[in-house]
Amino acid sequence: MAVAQSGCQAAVVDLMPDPARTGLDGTAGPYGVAHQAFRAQARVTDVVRYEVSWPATADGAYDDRAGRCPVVMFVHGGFVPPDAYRWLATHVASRGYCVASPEHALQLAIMESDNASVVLDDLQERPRGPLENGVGDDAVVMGHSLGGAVATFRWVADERFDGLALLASWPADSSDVESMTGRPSLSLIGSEDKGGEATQTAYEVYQRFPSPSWFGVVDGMNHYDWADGASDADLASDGVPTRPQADTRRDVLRVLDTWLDAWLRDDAEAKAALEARGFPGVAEAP
Amino acid sequence: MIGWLLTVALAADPAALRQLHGEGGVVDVGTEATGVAASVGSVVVGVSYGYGAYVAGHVGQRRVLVGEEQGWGLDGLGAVGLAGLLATPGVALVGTGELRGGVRDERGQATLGLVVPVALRVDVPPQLAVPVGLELRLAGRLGPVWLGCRGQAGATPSVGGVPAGRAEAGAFVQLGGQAR
Repeated sequence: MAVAQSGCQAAVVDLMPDPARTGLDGTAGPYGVAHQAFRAQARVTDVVRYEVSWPATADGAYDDRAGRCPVVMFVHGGFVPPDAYRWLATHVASRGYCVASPEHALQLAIMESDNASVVLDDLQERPRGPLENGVGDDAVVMGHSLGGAVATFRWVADERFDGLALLASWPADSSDVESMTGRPSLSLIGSEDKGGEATQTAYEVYQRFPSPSWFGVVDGMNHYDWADGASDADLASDGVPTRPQADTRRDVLRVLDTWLDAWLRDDAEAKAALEARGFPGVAEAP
Repeated sequence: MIGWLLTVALAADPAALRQLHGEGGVVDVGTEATGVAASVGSVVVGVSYGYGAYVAGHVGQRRVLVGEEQGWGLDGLGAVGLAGLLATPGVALVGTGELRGGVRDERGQATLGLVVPVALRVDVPPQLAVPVGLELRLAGRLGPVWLGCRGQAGATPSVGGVPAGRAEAGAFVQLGGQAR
């Protein structure tokens, strides 16, 4: 990993740019990717630490060819460190998005459920270092597991988050998702999530979401396939994946990339692809 | 567990100042801040650094409300001060109230306290946070030194924000005087 100095902190280059990469069919995009840690003031004397991954040049600078990048705010799962999802952040950023991942007290997003909004404030109102001219106005919020429930709180409460993406998750009963007509949502979950029990629950709760919503079951994927570094105890409580992780993640990324392009770039082809539902390895229902 | 605690962000609680009573000085190292405090006449002054979040100075006073210096009793503490905010530079007025009850004698102490470290950001935009925490505190005497530890949990409601959970652990050393 290369390290580039930018402002007073170091940016770490995770992926070198490669114009030969297309970003199609679930593969990485042409941009390089760098990430850096930042701090935002919250609740007067608290501080929220967060990381941002952005489309970068080989030296870690913001790649101006990406324009002002839409923001994907990612909320980690319970007791899962944000960097366990770096594979996802790196992939998404390589396609021209900025991915921000706030930390939370005790690694429980529910402890500080408005950190995603705090970080969006900081990114958009006080961009600094390599992001000074790079952060756009459009944003979606995404979360895995418990992070998805908290992301839903933010989606309902903070209208700056236009879209919501739930990964192996569903909202709390108290979240008024039924009122979010016209705001896009996506729910993806593996067929083997907690042995399939969670998959069924996610499908049933998904029925609460108004249009435009999109639900998919990823064949052979379990709950912890979404994060790197799951412990033996985590895996013991989960279902057994029936396909290689690289394959299931590729299936996920085909859908996720299309959904992000559809709603953050207003891409008509991507919207048509979502409508057609021709994604290998992803079914409409359990 | 320690890794989880280190990620918790808290309000500008003058923990070192709250540990000291009578003559002497104290150093408190917590998962959220490190501070020092010393008695100056009838008051206590303290400085604390919340890792990457703030630097704060407080002045305060502790009084026995119920009971005596030794044995069972209830103390009250009030402190006010100023905090410089570091992540998004700014200034906040800070004030802390504490009610602490329990048992203390010449050898050891076991107390439970209610801590309210309020913070008002006074530059633009103004913000108000009113954290509330319950703190369990244990200390023992080792010659001229008091060694103690504390654990705190609670919530931080803030105006216009969503209440956040809070938790902190810390340890302190007092030299001189009598810790209580």
